[in-house]
Amino acid sequence: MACFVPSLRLSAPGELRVSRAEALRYLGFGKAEPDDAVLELMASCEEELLAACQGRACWVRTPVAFPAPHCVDIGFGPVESVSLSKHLKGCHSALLFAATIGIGADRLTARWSRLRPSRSAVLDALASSAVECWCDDVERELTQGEEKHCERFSPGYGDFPLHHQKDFLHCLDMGRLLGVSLTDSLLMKPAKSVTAVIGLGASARTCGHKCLFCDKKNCIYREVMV
Amino acid sequence: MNLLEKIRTSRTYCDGGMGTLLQARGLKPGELPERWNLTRPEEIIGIHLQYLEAGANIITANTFGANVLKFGDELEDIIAAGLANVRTAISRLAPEKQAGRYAAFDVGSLGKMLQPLGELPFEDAVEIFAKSIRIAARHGADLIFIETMNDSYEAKAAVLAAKENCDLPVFITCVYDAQAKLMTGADPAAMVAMLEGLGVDALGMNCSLGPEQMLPIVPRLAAETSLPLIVNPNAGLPRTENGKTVFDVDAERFSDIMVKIVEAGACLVGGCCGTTPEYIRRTVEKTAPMPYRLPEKKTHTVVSSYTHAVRIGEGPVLIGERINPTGKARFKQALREGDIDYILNEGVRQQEAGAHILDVNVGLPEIDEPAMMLNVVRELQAVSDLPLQIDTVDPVAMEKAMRACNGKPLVNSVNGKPESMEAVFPLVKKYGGVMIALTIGPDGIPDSAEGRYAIAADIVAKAEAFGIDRRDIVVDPLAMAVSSDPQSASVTLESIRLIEERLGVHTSLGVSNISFGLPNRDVVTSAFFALALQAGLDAAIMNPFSVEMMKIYHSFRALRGMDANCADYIAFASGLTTQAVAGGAAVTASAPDTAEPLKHAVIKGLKDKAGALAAQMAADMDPLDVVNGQIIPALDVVGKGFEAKTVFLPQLLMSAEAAKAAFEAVKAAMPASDQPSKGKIVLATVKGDIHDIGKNIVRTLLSNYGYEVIDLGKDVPPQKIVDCALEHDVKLVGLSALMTTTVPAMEETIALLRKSGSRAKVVVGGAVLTQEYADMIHADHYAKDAMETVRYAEALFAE
Repeated sequence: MACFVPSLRLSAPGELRVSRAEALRYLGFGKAEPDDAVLELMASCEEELLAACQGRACWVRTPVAFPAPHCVDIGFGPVESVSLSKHLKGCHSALLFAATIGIGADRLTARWSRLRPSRSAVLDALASSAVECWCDDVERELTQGEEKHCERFSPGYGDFPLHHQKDFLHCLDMGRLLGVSLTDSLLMKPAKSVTAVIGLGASARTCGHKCLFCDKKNCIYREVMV
Repeated sequence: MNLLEKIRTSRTYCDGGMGTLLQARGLKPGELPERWNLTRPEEIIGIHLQYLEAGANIITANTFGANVLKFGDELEDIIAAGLANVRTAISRLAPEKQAGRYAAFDVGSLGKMLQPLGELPFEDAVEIFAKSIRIAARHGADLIFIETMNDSYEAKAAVLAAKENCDLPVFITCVYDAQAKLMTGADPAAMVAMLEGLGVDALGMNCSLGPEQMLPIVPRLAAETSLPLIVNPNAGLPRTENGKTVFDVDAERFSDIMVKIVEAGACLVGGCCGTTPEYIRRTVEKTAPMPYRLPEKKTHTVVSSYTHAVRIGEGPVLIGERINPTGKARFKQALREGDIDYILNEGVRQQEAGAHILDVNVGLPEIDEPAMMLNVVRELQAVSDLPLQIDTVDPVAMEKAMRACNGKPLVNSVNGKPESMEAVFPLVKKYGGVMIALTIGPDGIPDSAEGRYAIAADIVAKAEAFGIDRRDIVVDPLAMAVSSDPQSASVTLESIRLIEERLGVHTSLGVSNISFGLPNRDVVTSAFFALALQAGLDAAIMNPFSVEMMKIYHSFRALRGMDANCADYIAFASGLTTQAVAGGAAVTASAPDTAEPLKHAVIKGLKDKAGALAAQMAADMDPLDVVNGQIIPALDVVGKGFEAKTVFLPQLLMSAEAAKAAFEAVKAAMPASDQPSKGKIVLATVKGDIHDIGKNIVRTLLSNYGYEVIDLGKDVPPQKIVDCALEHDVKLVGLSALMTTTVPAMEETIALLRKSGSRAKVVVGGAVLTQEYADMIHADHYAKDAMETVRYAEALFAE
């Protein structure tokens, strides 16, 4: 790869947002409507959360090659993965992408988990939605002007091995640029962080929704039934 | 010239970026740059030489990631070669140009988040840094340059390691974002307070931002620090241009802004990512002729947490006194039972009530105070971002707490007896802190203000001789019960005046002592508080839940022009009326709606109301009937609703919290021996997994159903779980895991538990678990959610 100095984008004050609908889905509401007490709790958590978060995102552009069947090279050497190869079929390049909303969300959920578990659970769900929204917003900017692009695909999806988190961490200089580190069991800290590859190319496959790529058909969070 | 002399007398230049230059020379992605110290030393020496020729004085060795986590046994070779490369580069300069050049051992972040946010224990971090620093000192480093720190706790670990393992100068730069905060939240004032306290020789910022974005942060650092200020920006922000990443500030523009940065107070300047020798050369050219000045010596008194600093002496500071067992039966019980949650709750509630600093006193004869102090300080820092006041007479507990403190603490206390000063001064000198100095001398507490002043003056003189700045001393002239000595208040007030006027140090008081022995103590305490503030008192150890005290605090600030537009007073006072109305109305108004108001309050998740109603009922009837007749049936209603998907997680938890508040109230009404326990259950998130929200939800519900839950926390090794299960002979162990990668740890735990001969059944749960997984790892039961765990426990314990 020619250049491994990633580009960096910080969220402007007031730019981060949450999706209450998403958060309610994470909280298991399904199609049910939350009552006033829950809505009130969500509003106060939303305010507390957004005041404590700072969005950061970084990315590099990389060529995509398919050195062998079920194997794809996205800049840090070959990745053995049927699902990733399938996902990136037809892509000539890709964005390696990482984003976080920072450690503030971890602090808040930790603070309240022992003292007000309801608050902690709602903050956690809202924070999950916030990092997804932040990824969506940055991704939209990055893919503007591209012919076509795939949905984000992350280590741990399908058979894309989780240990490639280390490659993302290194290639994207995530420690320095985002303040993101990995635990020994490959979990990201801050917890509300995302790594993903976004395939680019005129014949990139898109299917309209990330859930459609996922093999976990019985997932309680699955939005789109197939 | 000695480096410390040089930075006090003339501008000193740092070098610039290394990583970007190595990539341009062929460093591959995935390759560790430090390895080039051994494999391609000429490339490294060449870069150092270019920076030297550009005018840099301090050359940082290529050792940013040189720690034992990355290099293991190779560590010494990597560091030795890194420092040798700098020396070689310096030796290649013309002899007359070699003076005033220094080889810095460069220390970067470990790339691991420290506990409690991550998994790396603080002391492990100190030891990892220490290993590298000892090697660097052996191989002739001229200074330790800690850089790119984006977490205050990791910064503290690195500085402590440097101070404990070498005598070299210690410089440190941290990474601030556009809001002037570290990634883990600290602002410039907080960082300066902590780092100056730890005794660094120069401090500042680097990386992340370009010079333009850094410029507004420079005056903020300069306003706080008395030390030489270092500013090493990136060459702007990296952005994509035609598919290539470029930094957006060129050398010419960079050096122009560096002139402004120097004008704003920077003493040592250089560059970070994306900068090259050319950036440094132009910066040197433009700033060398500029006059050199150090920041003014600061005199303000300041303590800090991992997010912010609190200044003492610029308006009354409230130190919450509630984390203290003295005279509090419920708190003593919490300490004996290791009920940390109760203690943490007192901390968070005081913060919500308006305290600026939390006093931490956990001294009780029958407990291990140093261990408890350490635990409470660590846990408290996970739930509250207020600075702490370490309150203990045990020097061991004091040191443990000061070491673990993620900031600069208040230390309560030292007094005028030689043995006290001998114990406390070295700790404050080493770890940094502001001492509360009690006016107690070898002969006790003088009756006169002059006598108390004399002791204060003695402590200040001896502390200064020891090397502790007088701004790090706050004198407590002691409030004594007015009921036993009618002159006591007058003497204390006069002492405040004398000490502030003649010594120029700030004062603090434990104000509530004044009313000891009197009825309705708040009345006297708050009146005394007003008098003391008027006499010049700067800080009070007080009860922030006392409305009378908060009335005085807010009205004093408004009356003395410390509260612009009386905004804080208005917010406080309007809150007073609504609270009074709502509090009174809520409990009575809904009573006619339902025959069972407590049950109703728990179901609806009305925490305050449930607590109040339970307290009322427990006074009138058998407390156990309140539990079994009202609280448990209410929890069952909610639990069934949850299973039927008419009640959802937030409601289930709100109701659990209301039940908990009701239990607390009932508990207070019955002797500890009568409190029911259905049995003990051990809970843990397994080794390798740091997600504990699900486990905490289960714990909340199980405690509400009357089980004694032993919560081992997250990332718990199998052996620890087994040992605990055996020690308490529990019937049930609950294990949680979020990720597929940690399910094997769950399996290992279950196998070990079976082998140990424990009778415990194992219930497992967590995001990735399924019935199939549970069967595969030989769990006794799979619980799909928290209620399911309760149902299983109920069935198991009923057997």
